[in-house]
Amino acid sequence: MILTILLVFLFLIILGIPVAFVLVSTGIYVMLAQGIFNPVIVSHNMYSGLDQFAFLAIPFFILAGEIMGEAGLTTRLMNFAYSLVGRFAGGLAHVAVLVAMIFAAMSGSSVATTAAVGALLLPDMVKKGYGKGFSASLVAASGAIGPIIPPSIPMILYAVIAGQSVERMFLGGIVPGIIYGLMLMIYATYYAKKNKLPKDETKFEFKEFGINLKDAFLPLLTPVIIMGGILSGVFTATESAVVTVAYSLFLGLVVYKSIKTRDLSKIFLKAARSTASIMMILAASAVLNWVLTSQQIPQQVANQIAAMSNDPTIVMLLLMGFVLVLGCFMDATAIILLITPIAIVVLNQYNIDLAYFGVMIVINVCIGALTPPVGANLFVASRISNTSLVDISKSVIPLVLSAVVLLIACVLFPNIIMFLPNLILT
Amino acid sequence: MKKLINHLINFTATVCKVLSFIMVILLMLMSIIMFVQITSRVVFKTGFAWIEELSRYSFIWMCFLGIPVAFYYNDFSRFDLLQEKFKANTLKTSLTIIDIVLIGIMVIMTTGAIPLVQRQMGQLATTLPIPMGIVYIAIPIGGVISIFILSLKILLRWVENRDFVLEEETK
Repeated sequence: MILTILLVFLFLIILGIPVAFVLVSTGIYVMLAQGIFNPVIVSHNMYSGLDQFAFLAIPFFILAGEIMGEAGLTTRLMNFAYSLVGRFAGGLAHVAVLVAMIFAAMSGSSVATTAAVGALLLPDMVKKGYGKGFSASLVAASGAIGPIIPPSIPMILYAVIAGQSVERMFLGGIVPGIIYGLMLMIYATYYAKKNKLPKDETKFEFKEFGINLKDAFLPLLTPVIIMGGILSGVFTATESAVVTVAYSLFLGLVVYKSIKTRDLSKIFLKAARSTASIMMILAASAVLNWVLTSQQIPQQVANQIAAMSNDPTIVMLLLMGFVLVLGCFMDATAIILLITPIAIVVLNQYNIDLAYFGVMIVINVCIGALTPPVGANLFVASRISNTSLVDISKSVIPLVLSAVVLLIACVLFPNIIMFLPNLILT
Repeated sequence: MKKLINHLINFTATVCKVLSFIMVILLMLMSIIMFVQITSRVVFKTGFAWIEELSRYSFIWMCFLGIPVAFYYNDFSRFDLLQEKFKANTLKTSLTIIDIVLIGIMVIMTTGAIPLVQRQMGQLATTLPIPMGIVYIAIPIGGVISIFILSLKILLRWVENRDFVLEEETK
């Protein structure tokens, strides 16, 4: 049964049916095969799949990202990052990674981060002679940091499904996110040295740094407001998304006057459209999850994994490997919604911390956004830089491998993730 | 025939504009009321129970009305690397097969929602003075418009050799 479901699923994906509808059709197929088909089940699960207050964070974080871009907040962050790391070998690449890390602390989506950083830096990187494939893949990989460093849309999704504390997961993502950023910077340095990329020879001037810091100061407060608000209990993770929207609107409309009221409908529409296509995946996976659970598939998978090994580390590696493979074909939301109910059954047998696993699966699906043939970040970066997918796919290999190394390190040393939450939330 | 098709294209474009307008209004409404909720809780230490419900329902409406809009603009992500290698006619056939599958799913979604709407019309929401059926009715509305748009897409593809939105306009 499990094998047939997987085959139907893969067939529909390859046929080119949108991922959301592959999930529904697979569910409908299983219902038909088991003789339990009823259209009401489909509609009802689609509805209840969306009817979660916490999911409102998704449109708001997407909206906040759009506003930050329109209001030029991201440009201010870039200038600030440039005055910090622009003088290193391969300066623009470092700027891209650093901006992505800062932006990641304000936005919860990897596509939004890739798009923001790409629009700011990709044209310039290509103009200055950085290889197209290198630039695009580096920007895509920097974008993957977006949901690892909090806030994070996939973490909120997981926390809702697995009944975990969003705060713990948010704190857990900080260290691995920073480590991955540093890994990317090291790679950029190596690449710059090897290819003798041009260096910015102007000297560091404290005055200029001061000006850039002042310009970027208010946008830089966003992460402080978000995490401060959540950890002090003033607002929830979902509400922090609304606060981010309000704050960036305030900066754009009132302080910098960089957006006009008449641009608002365009910005809101962009966010509403991206939300709708993401939410369709959520609605669809609710249908498939209902069907799978009714056939006790999670339990069966759990039993099969349990038959393979008793060692929690091996089980984690197996699960992570499986998610990585799925990540090549599916997007982050779908994987989290599909795997979490199955994984919970397995993890409980091995006493693995569900919040820890949540951070791991989020890192993993972020790698999934970098792996061809289906990788959302790759698509965005290739579109912005006019690079072919084949070129990006080749250049992204070392960046994917370093992320996999990080993932394995987190399996072997769970404290990379859990140290911070255990320290702060006691 | 040509004239009829042009009318249909214009009509669909108008429908999508109206849907987009409603989506924008709903998202703005959600943002405003939730911000009011947080502010009033922080400043006045009190909140409004109906805000949570209203924003959740607006969100559901936005999502289901977003389905036809996403079909119109080809917003849904899918694996299309294989199709890039197809010749024109094979591509047309395969896209049509996909659209037929999508229509099938939309038909199931719509027919499944009708008994839900009927049942929920008698049920009041917890804090809002509206029947729950008003919330559920977003499903068949989104479904029917989607079926209409997908069918027109098939028609346009075979008669006019085009899509609603041309490649360069999509983003």
